[in-house]
Amino acid sequence: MKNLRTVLEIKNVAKSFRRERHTLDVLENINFNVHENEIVALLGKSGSGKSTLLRIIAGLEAPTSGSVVCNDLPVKGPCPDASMVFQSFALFPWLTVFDNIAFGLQALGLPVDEVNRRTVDMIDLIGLAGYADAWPKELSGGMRQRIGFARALAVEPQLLLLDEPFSALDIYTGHKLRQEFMHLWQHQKIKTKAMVLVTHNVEEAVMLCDRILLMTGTPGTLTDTFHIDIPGRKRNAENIKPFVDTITETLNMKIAATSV
Amino acid sequence: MQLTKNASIWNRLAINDVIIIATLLLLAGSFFYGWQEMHTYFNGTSLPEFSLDYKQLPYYTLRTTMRLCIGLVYSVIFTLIFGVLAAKFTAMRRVILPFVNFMESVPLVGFLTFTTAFFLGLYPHSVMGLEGLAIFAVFTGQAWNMMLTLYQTLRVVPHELSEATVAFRCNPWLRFWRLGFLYSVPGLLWNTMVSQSAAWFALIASEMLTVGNQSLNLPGIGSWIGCAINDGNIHAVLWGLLALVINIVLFDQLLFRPLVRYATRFKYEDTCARERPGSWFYTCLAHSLTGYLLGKCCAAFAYFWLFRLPKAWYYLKFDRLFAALSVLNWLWSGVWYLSIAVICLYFGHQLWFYLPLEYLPHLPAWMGLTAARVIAAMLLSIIIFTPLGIWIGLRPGLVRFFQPIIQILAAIPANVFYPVIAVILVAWHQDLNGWTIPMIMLGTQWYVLFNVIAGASVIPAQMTDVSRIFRAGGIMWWTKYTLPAVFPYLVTGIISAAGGAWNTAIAAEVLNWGSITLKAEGLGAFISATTDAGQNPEAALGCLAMCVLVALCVIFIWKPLYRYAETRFKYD
Repeated sequence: MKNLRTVLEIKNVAKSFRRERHTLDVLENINFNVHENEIVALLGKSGSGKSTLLRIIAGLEAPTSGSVVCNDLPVKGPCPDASMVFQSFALFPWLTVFDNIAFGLQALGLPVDEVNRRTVDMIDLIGLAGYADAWPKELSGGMRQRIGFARALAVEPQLLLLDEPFSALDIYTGHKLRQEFMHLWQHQKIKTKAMVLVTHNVEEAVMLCDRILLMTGTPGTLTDTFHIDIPGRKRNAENIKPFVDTITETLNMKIAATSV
Repeated sequence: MQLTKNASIWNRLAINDVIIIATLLLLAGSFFYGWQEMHTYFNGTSLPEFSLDYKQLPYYTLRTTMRLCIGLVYSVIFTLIFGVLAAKFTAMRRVILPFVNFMESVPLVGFLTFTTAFFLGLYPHSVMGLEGLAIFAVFTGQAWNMMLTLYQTLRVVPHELSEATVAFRCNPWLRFWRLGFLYSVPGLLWNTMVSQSAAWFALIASEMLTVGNQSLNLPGIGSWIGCAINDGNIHAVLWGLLALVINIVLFDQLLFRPLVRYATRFKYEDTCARERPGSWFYTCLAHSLTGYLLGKCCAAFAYFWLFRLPKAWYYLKFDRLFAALSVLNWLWSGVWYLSIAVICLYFGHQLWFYLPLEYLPHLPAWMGLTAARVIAAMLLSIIIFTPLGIWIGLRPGLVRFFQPIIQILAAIPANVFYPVIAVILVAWHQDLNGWTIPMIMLGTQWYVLFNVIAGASVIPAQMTDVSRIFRAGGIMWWTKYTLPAVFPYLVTGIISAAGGAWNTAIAAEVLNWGSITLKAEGLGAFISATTDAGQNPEAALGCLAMCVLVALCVIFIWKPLYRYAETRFKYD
């Protein structure tokens, strides 16, 4: 793992919002790297600033200070090597499933043939075959999030950012989608090199990720790091339990300490 | 708001009270003065001489404002009654909705002539009869639009909220006032503000009345501008315009701004990111003892209105009565439909013999010309003002800066510009036929601009994120992201604009400046010529032809377009 290339580098990132008279510090002193073939989770309670950090990585927001380097390029504005899956799907209601997935490819200015080919491939890969001409409105939440994944993966990003992608789904649907997605990742069916997952679900983080960063406090900082050293394919409800317990306990402690 | 609540009574400055009390006294004084003037004696043939003396202008402004206020009150009452009826009863809805949809786009200017006799009969020997006519014009300018807004918002009250009111066993009265009504207040208010332009347009057009073959000038800004135009007096026109703008600004600052500021609390969305609209008058009121006492009074009244009033209803057992009556619902709706059908048939029959049918062969050509102009004007408005609206709407800073300006510009009725255009056209020896199009645009463009700005500024943040993450640019940015996102708003804008456009066509196809008269070929010219000449049957025929055009547009273009926008382009 050590000699693998670094996909994402975050140095001393801080973020504060200016509200009329006072400034609100959201993030402070954030430092971490994401290497190739690694999934990193940002875990914290809601409002801890983890989604803001993800938006900074995506280049949707500029950090107040510090720097983000993605694939050896400093991130200034939306990053060409990163793509994102949203919690509430964020699909265009006026585009069909096919057009939604093709959105990113078309934006790249690829020739029509290639856009079509890659979109069809992605539709097959992600399990949406037969739904190409449907409208997002007609599909269930699980199917919609598949479109969200397909759209993000179609552009073959080096870095995939996941903003609570399973939180808007019910447990069973979310679980199934997570398993299928992990299968694609483990069998290297997708070209993504690394992922950052934002979540508040400890079990989800342990199941998916190689490294878990706890984000607590106001302003939010990364306080603890956990390495999950079981290979992804061998993880099951039994052997991840110690990790889940430790992390949950630590998280509860930190939250209790800051909220009093 | 948090700050004002925490503030102690000492923070309420005396200066605020002085401002508030002075303003309120001034308003009340003007109101009573205006009210008395409105009920002076009218001998049935002539009013006091109308003078273009500048000292008279504030007085005329007051009279015009009185009409606007009274018209607004009636519009609100109409909105509440018919909006609720349409939302509650299917049988009512089937008649009210087409009627209002139709009235919304019908040339009200043409119709005013026919209501003269009614209003003069209502208040014999009082100026109020003529005033009633002008007030009715204000009413027709805005009431339909407001009612439709209330109806539409009542239909989309979030399901979980209405279920919550049922779960807490609120009676229907409470359910309406505490949920349906409050939920629709922001939209209703916004729509009322937008409709002001139509109200002013109607008022300007209707203050110079034709009764029989006499023309009467009600004291007001509309008559002032009209007289100035007839005299070809450019100074007087400009003074009238200035008074109009000041009036619009005052109305905005003293009535709409505070209300909009107050109504932000009824918005059903998380507003943390948005800035609240400010209003100095509201802030004064909120920080003054007068405001505090008024608030107490209002709270007491609200308590009486919400909880005491329905008690009387239940005490008299009206609820039982209506429950019993509703068993026979099929009978009531049958009677209702039958009476509507009989009335329509009767009046249709009467109308057929009233109309001068010899004009019929000319009508299709005139209708075609006017329709072509209206459509061209709307297309041009869309092409020019959609990109502009998107450009402004996506920049919150610009929206804040432009919105009040556009509101004031939009409220200036287009017809006050026409004489100026007439002068220019005469000077350059231009033909009115083609130039009618930009003149119709003067009236319609604001609806498009308003709605597109509104649409662009409420695009969900996540959609913007997606378009940025995938770095959509150029044509793609327009066709797949912004244009579809504002499309439903654009459609709403065009539909409201269409109503105005037909009206404007009547005023725009004939222009007067002093002794100059320019005339275009078309249905609008026919209607305004016959109305001015007091040829009622001919005017009725023209209006009817325009109604047919409007109805065709509503049925074959607007309805399908609206439905398409609703189903395909709305977020869930």
